[in-house]
Amino acid sequence: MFADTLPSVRLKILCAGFFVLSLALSARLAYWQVLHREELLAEARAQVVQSELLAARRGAIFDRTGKLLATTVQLDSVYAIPQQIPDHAAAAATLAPVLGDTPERIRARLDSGAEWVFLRRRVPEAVSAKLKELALPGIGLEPEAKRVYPDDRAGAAALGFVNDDGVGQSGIEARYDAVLRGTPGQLVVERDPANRPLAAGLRQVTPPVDGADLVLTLDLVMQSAAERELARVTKAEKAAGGTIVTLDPDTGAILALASTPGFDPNDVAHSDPEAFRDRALSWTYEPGSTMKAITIAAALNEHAIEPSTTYEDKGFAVIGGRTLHNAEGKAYGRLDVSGILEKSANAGAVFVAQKLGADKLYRYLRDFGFGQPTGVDIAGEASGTVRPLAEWYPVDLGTAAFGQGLTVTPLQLAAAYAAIANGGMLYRPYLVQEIRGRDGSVQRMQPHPVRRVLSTETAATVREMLVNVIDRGIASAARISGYSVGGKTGTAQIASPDGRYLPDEYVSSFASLAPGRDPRFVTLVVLERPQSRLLGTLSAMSAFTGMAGDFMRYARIAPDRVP
Amino acid sequence: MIASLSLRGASRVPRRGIAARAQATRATAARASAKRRSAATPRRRGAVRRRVSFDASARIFVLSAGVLATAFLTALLYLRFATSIAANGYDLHDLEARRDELARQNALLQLRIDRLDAPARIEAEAQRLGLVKAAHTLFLTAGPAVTLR
Repeated sequence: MFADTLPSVRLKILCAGFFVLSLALSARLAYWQVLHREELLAEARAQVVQSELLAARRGAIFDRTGKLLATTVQLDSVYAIPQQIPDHAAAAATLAPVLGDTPERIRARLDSGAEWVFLRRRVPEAVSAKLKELALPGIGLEPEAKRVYPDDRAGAAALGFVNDDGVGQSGIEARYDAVLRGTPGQLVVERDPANRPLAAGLRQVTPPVDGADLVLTLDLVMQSAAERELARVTKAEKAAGGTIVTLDPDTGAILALASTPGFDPNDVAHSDPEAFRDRALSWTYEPGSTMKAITIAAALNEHAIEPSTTYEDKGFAVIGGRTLHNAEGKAYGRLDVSGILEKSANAGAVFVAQKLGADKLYRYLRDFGFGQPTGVDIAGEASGTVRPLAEWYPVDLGTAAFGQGLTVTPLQLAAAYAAIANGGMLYRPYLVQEIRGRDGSVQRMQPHPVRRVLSTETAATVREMLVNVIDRGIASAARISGYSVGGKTGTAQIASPDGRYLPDEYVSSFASLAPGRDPRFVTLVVLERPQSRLLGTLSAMSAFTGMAGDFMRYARIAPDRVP
Repeated sequence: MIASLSLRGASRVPRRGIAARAQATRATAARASAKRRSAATPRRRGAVRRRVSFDASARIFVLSAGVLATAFLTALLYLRFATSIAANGYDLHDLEARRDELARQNALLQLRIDRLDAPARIEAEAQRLGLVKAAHTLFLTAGPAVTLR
């Protein structure tokens, strides 16, 4: 009996054991395959599926004639995987002459302990080709986007630059960064061990949307001429800085914008940070006598004076208990309004301002756009300073009349002269004239008239007076053979932080309309601390004539005078 | 196989027409004479049943072989296609890489053109060659429009 039942019991126990085991295994299997199925799937997928960002191509920038100013290309960056390099010293010695670096510096990077390290980023094509020939173990190339400016320094102040991550840092690159940058896409793909995408595997693509292209109002030929002349006179004068702004007076479009000290946007790492400041719009100065044209325009427009109004110039004017002198104390005798501009008589400007009155002068200064940003579409614009009328002392009426006691940006002053040139309408300066989307859409910027500041008649009268300044006045050095030119020089002292003026340090400037009677260009040249001091305006006029001749030829403007 | 054919042929007899029925009668007679001939050599009763059984197993075998062959061929075709897709995928990958490289090279060449086209470079080159700017530009003024008859 016992002998018969024992095996059966054992068998049953064994079966029960197997049953329990299989139940446990099934439960465990169900636990992983049913309850944690997604987790396992995700782990398995993670081993073969890669998700990578598809970088959007940054939009290009062109000048008004379609010449390329900025674009993005793919260049190779050199990286190293030190563990895969058998002899660090030998590799460093081989790489040093190719990369233009010292073996010690390369060796230090290889020995840094990092698993993966960049040796040099965005190398030229020749270097890349040489490295491919060498085929060193543990040294690889990875393409990276690089912003390139084919014209090097030309237009750098307006264009700005981008950082290593391709984000705009100044100028147009910063102001239109969101438009230029585009939207990155995403690629989710299964890859084999050699990192190649599996043809029949998962492949989900969200394509990137490339950035829009910009077409600027800048004209590269005019810009190059402005850069050339500014570099020439700045070097000759050993000036601390300078700027040239050229506007189309009928639209406010910026045709040229040069600033020095400049920088090469292709190599910002080796540039002086001070050079990144665009002196045309991020720097303010006291405009000096160039402001007299604004004062006289305001007084003529208000009929506070007439062109035939005269006064007796004694070389000085007394206002608010203070005596304000002409430059070098010269007395000019009887002068009409045009004569005030031709001689650049400070006392005459004070006379006109007194006729106009402080409240009206203040209102005109504001109407011409001083003391507030112009709204130009470039990052980093300063506003300048025109103190509120309530804070004016009586003498401020006199000093403001000839451009002292207030600060402006060169762009503000150029825009104000453009209003005189075009018949009295103040336009907002702008630099981008078209945004071309990748979908073929084109957004054209229209000129933006801000307000009418002068009547057409007043503007014409002031233009004629400015032409007289060149023909008969102190700015005869700005004559161009065959063309009428209108303009006004300015020499202003530089204020020190304690509120006094620095001795023998000046800002020289020249604002011009060309041709004078039917202006096509308004140009302002400003030099900071020229070596020739009070004669710095001669250099400013020299820069103007150097490029204005090119402008006229280039724009095919027929002479309006017999040469 | 022959037996199964003949069996299938016999099963179709009742469905035929009068002419066919006569032919079937002749066939029955022939089978009867054959049966008489075979009476000389005694056979077991289950002979026909075994032959039927053999036919069924053959049919299963053939069917299984067919299924296996079809499955094999399908698998073969699948593998062939999968291999082909994978190979084409790698070719596509290589072509895409080549296309991207050509586009990159093209962009760099275009950049070189733009660098050479820079006004500052051209002006410097002109000065190096001793060229001078024109002193005067002549402008022609068109006269009044004339209608020729």
